[in-house]
Amino acid sequence: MRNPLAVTVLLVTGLLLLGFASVSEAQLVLYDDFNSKPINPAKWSGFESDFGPAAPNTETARKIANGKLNLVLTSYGRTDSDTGTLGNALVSLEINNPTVVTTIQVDVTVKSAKVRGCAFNTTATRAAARVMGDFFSDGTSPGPGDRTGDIIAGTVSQRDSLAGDQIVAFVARCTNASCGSSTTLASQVFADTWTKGVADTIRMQWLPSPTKQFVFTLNPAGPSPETHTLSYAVSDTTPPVLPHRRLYTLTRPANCMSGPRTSATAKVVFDNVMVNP
Amino acid sequence: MEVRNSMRKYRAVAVVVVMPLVLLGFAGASQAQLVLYDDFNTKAINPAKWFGTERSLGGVSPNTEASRKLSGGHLEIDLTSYGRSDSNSGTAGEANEALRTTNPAAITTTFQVDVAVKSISAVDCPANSASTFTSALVIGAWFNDGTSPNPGGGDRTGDVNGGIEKAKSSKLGDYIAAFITRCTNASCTTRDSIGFHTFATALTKGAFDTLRIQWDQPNHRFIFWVNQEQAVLGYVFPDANPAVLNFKNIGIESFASNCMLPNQRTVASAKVLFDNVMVNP
Repeated sequence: MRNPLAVTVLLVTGLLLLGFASVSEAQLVLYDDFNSKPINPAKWSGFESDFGPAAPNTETARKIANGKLNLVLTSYGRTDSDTGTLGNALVSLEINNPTVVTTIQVDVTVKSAKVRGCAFNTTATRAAARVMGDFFSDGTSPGPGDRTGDIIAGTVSQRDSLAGDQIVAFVARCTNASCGSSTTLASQVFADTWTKGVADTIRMQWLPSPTKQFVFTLNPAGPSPETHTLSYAVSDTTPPVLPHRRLYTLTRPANCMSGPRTSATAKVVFDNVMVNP
Repeated sequence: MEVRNSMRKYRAVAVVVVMPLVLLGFAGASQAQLVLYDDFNTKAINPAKWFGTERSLGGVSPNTEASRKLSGGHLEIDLTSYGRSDSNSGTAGEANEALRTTNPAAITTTFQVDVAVKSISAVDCPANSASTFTSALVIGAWFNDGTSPNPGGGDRTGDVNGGIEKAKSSKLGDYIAAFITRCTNASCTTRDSIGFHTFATALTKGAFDTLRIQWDQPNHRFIFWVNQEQAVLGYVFPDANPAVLNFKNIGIESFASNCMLPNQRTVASAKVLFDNVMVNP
């Protein structure tokens, strides 16, 4: 005979989990479905980051087309080294009032991701779609405007010239003033990956102290949602130096002196941005 | 990209000589001496010749739509920027979208570009005396007048810029103008207007005009052309020092005025074609 208490606990737990999942979905509200032009300046602001003439950005686009946000960027690597990369170039759209957003959900479609890597450089060239936020500081910023200690989290749907196509969730800590460098606190590669032209719904939820977790879910309403929880141990009670919630295309061409010039192009469509109420 | 406050805030600090002359013989000889830098008849923007940049001012005065691409054998750049909504005074500052030459120091005397404005708009704020402004721009930094307190450290004070703009002002309308400015702070976010000239040639949407800047260093002046119409702007500064931040740019710059009036958010927007970039040999 089964233990009636155990059965009850399991049943309640299952119901609670089902209920919790459906409540989370139901609690999100539409932020923007991009069904009207132009991009709404009350909700969004655009931004581009580049590395100048040695590793130039060339073509770019930030526009609404066919009821979706399109972000495009092409960048090239340096030609005076076979080591490393200058970093991530990006074209983004950022939520204008980011601090109220603790959960963000976005449909992400990689329309094109092209990478030309360098056979003489162990650093990969990448082209990617990112959904990312700068959520809090661990309190170690040494001064005003210095992002050292800001904690960023997000997902990246990337083509990597060495690792192939992946969707990765990550939590990282900025290690310099501009957050041009960071250390990964936790990361997880999703079992599923992106397919060119196919939308993935990506949800990121921040659960601050005492939970201290970020929960990432791929295709939460699909037949087989995939969820990963990344925990952190640092203090999360200090606001970040530069809060943001950002959708962007990312290019990271490796440096290459001994082979053809590296390049990365990402064309990404974003749609149905949902956030916590 | 640099900007002038001319027409909005004109302050001549040096001798300004404006000579709207048509010197066909001179123009013809100069044209023959130029060499093609880029006609954009390629599949992709050439990273050996150009790099793209965008300047934005954040969430309170956002850039929204923007692009740089090759289309129909031309370079097409577009930019939309909005003003602040918490003030009826001034503008939030300069937003821009540009393609910059990768070796601007090689363009020592002459920079010529065909420029067509496909669309341009500037929404005014009646409560603000500052206009909303946007322009298609060909511009360079040509020299420093020797007043930079720290040229090795990147202090641009004293850099002298010259350019031509096809512009729309929400209060003054459309025009094509040549200008010289001098940077007055380290980052060149403030500038004095040294010279300004409005061309008789009108801004016609969709029409290419050939804009040429020639730095005539021996005579301490710039010669500007719009097609065959010429203007000369002189200066009285020492000009032997290189610009601290040398650049030669083509693109769009915008200043959206601030506006608190309900339902009156200001916006500056332009879509511009560039072609046949010619430079000195």
